[in-house]
Amino acid sequence: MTEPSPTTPLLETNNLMVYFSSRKKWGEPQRFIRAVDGVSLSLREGETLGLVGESGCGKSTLARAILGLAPVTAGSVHYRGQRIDQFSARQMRPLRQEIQMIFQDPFASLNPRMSVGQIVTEPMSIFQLYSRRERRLEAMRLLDLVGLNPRYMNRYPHEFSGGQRQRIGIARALAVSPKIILCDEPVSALDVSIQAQVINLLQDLQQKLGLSYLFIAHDLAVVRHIADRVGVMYLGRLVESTDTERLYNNPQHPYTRALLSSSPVPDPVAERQRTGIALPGEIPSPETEFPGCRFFDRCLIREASCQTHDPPLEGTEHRVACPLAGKEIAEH
Amino acid sequence: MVETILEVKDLSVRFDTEEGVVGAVDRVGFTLMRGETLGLVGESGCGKSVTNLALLGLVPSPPGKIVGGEALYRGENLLEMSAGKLSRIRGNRIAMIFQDPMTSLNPFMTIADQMTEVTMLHLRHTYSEAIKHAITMLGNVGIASPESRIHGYPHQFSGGMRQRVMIAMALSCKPEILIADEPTTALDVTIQAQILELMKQLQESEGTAIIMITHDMGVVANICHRVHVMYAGRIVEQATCEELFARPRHPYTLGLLDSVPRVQKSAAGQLLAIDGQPPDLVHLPVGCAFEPRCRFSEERCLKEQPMLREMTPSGRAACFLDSLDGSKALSKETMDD
Amino acid sequence: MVRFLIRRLLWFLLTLWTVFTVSFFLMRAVPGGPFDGDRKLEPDVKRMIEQRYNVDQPKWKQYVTHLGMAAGVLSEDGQWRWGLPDLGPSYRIRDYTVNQIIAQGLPISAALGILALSFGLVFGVTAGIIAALNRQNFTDTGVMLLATVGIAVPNFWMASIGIILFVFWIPLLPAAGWGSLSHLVLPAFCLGAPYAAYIARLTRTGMLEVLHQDYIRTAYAKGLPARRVIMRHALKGALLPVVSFLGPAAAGILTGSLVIEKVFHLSGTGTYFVEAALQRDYPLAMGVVLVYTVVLYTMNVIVDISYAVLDPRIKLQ
Ligand SMILES: Nc1ncnc2c1ncn2[C@@H]1O[C@H](COP(=O)(O)OP(=O)(O)O)[C@@H](O)[C@H]1O
Ligand SMILES: Nc1ncnc2c1ncn2[C@@H]1O[C@H](COP(=O)(O)OP(=O)(O)O)[C@@H](O)[C@H]1O
Ligand SMILES: [Mg+2]
Ligand SMILES: [Mg+2]
Repeated sequence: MTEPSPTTPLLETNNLMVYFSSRKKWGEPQRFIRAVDGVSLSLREGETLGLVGESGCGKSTLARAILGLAPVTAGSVHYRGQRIDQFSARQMRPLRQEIQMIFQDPFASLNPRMSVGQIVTEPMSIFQLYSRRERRLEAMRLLDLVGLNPRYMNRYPHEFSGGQRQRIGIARALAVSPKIILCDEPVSALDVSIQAQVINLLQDLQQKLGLSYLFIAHDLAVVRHIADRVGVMYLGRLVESTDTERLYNNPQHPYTRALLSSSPVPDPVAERQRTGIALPGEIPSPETEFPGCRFFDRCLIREASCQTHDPPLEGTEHRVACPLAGKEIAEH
Repeated sequence: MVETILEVKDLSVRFDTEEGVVGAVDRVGFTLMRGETLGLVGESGCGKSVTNLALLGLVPSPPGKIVGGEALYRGENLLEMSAGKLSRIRGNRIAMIFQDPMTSLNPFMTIADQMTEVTMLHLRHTYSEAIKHAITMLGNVGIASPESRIHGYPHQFSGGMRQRVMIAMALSCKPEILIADEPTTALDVTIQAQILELMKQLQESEGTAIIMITHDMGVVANICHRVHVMYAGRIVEQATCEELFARPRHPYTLGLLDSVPRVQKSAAGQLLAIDGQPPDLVHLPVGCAFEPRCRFSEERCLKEQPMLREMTPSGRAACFLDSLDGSKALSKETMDD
Repeated sequence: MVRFLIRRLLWFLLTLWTVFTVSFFLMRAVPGGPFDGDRKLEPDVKRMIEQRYNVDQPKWKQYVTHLGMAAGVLSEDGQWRWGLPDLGPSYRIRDYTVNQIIAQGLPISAALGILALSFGLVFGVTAGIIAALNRQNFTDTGVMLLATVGIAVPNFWMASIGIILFVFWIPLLPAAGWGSLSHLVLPAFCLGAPYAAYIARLTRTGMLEVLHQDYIRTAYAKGLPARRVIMRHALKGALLPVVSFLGPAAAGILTGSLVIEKVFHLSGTGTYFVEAALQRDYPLAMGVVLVYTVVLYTMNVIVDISYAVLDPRIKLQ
């Protein structure tokens, strides 16, 4: 086991793979859903790492694998330099206190039969933090912190709007004073005005409590706003990863460029002038086997060699998985 | 001279629920011109869908009830039309597509059956004519090898492909009006871009007028010519697309624009969120419904409901303030630095 | 599809064999034998009879012989043969083989069962749709009240009321026995009524659920008239729960037919089964059990296939 040093990232995955076996048909070889297929990323203390990509590209699975909630097929996960992907459920327990998760659907992730107070104090009693009296006080403090009136302690989730429920989810995650919060599309289901409130709240909390976020989203604007560094995923792979400004000002991978140019911006003048790179086709099934680059079918700058050569993620500050990165996209 | 093809006046829809009467749509009025795209924006629950369902007599009743107003299409009031006559317009002259392409197609029927029944009904096609027509339509919306795909079932199509099928189906009788209820909300950005592009192309070639319901300001900027903003069942601002983004007249519109993060701008501290929650439609305040969340609220806003009034030759807003300019400058600064 | 059928056939044979074996030993495990009647038989006579029916042999030998006969590969005296299943002679109904008795009783019972099930389906589905379309008004409440009564009332009670009403009071139908199809109307009604009621409830719930689906709104938005929307777009989805109920319904109708055949003096397989069980007529009881197994198994396969036909998302495996 390596000693944690100041440069060791808080959380790290190395070539992480999560495969699910799909139902095998008679006479056919076993096939795999490559949900996460070799992802290496790191999260530093106090920073927000954004993770973007279209639905089905493996973002949620990656987050779940970090917490040991999805089977790790290969590769490793390190927390403070310690390898945790082979931990038993019991070894994992204390880590669950350090790494918490919040989810996209604030409706589905709260137990409808528990009051807000019970929801927020439950993690504290699981980890036996505080005395019983203190737990209630702590819960009220947390509700206040996330912008909910502490008098709501005895209400039930159905009495709240989507944005308020997301706040309850955040309060629950904060109940055990975690170091890291894995945010799985926490604002995707919310209306814009409420989305802004929750984003502001998350940023506030990060400053006050020194949290680190792995922030998953499919909205590139949200990620640009909140993340310090960003990773772009496509079909289980990280195709580009660098700090936010660099990525948005100088995107390299053809997929990143297409994603950026596909996002409509709230400015009609810019929209009318925009020459969007309309990405053809759709994301292939994660069961498909690719001898070469998995973006080949939809790529606008591809060359013949891409079909047979699987590009690795290369670079130090700005990592890109494309040898032709930055090549001019031909008008079509 | 642009021609008005749909004129909605003072449309009001209520729902009788256990909690009380929900005033889902309150005296909504707008006009739609031939060949234009009219945006209807607002947060969820503000009455966008119900407004449009009411036009086609599709509001579930009970609990819903149209309590007033008229919707003139070719001089006839859709809201008072007989069921038979209205169903000859639905899907034929006015077509509709919905938010969730995964659930909007019938999972038990082939695409062919679902597409042909529209033209066989409205255009009196025979089955073989209808199939031929449907295949052409599928080709037009960019579905590869439509001759074979048409005999598949919806579950064999991806979300984006199903929305294409919905569009092909909606356009198969060459409607004059297409009501698109959040057609891209459930789709990924790259697919959304494809669908928006497709809708623009089809509008150009067919001259269809589109009512685009959305909550995404980016989508509005991309496709709409004119925009109406709804809040709590009412229209609070009407403007051309350029005007709306350049100079919003209603504090709610301003708030919406400020609260979206921008993909081309680097982060500058906090977003300017609108505080609070949308109001409960059962207990609306006496005054302006937006007052509790408004940065500009005055004494008057509490007591009196502002009516839509002319602000510019092409823009109207339901606010007592003549201009939000001072504060707009302020919000611009905070965004840029 | 072919693989599905082959697989189901293999399971079917296994099921039949299991049913045969379990029934064989269970029946013989109960004290008493077929020939311990009220009259004491002379020991010699009894031995002769037992020899005639092979009951004197050890259990396993009997088992092998009977299994072989039922499978159509052994004859009664243990010779190899190749032919239809032979269930041997009945122990109590002299001079008749079980095959003959079943051949005589099965058409009656099958007619009764099919009639009852069709009655349940037609009435149930129609009533369910009507109730769903008139949700929460008088028609709906009326139909559903009737359905609740239909489920709650035991069928022998309904049979008695039916006989009093339609045979004695308004003499429309023959009381009992077997001759024409009209003899089956009342029994089939009594047998099918609870299922009609239950199917009505299932259809109503299914229909109401489907009518809330987005694709129904799409269908209306296309301008289809309400009847088309219901028959073409809603019905299939609404019927799925009914289809999955057909398996249990068939089983219930089989059980119910034992009582109903008795009440109406129909000499179908149900009546023979009850008699055979009471009188320890092992081969006959076994024959009927096997017939019932075949019927239920076939019914379940039909249900699975209909399900896949109705819902294209389901693949038969
Ligand atoms: N438990 C599972 N079993 C099988 N496949 C799964 C499972 N979980 C996820 N997948 C598949 O893995 C892929 C990635 O899913 P996910 O991580 O949820 O994507 P994202 O969060 O980026 O939308 C998808 O194709 C999904 O169908
Ligand atoms: N079937 C219904 N029963 C009761 N209330 C409804 C029903 N449908 C819509 N509403 C109410 O009408 C309002 C407007 O809904 P809708 O038009 O769907 O909003 P949106 O702007 O998101 O499309 C909502 O606040 C909702 O509560
Ligand atoms: Mg996900
Ligand atoms: Mg809506």
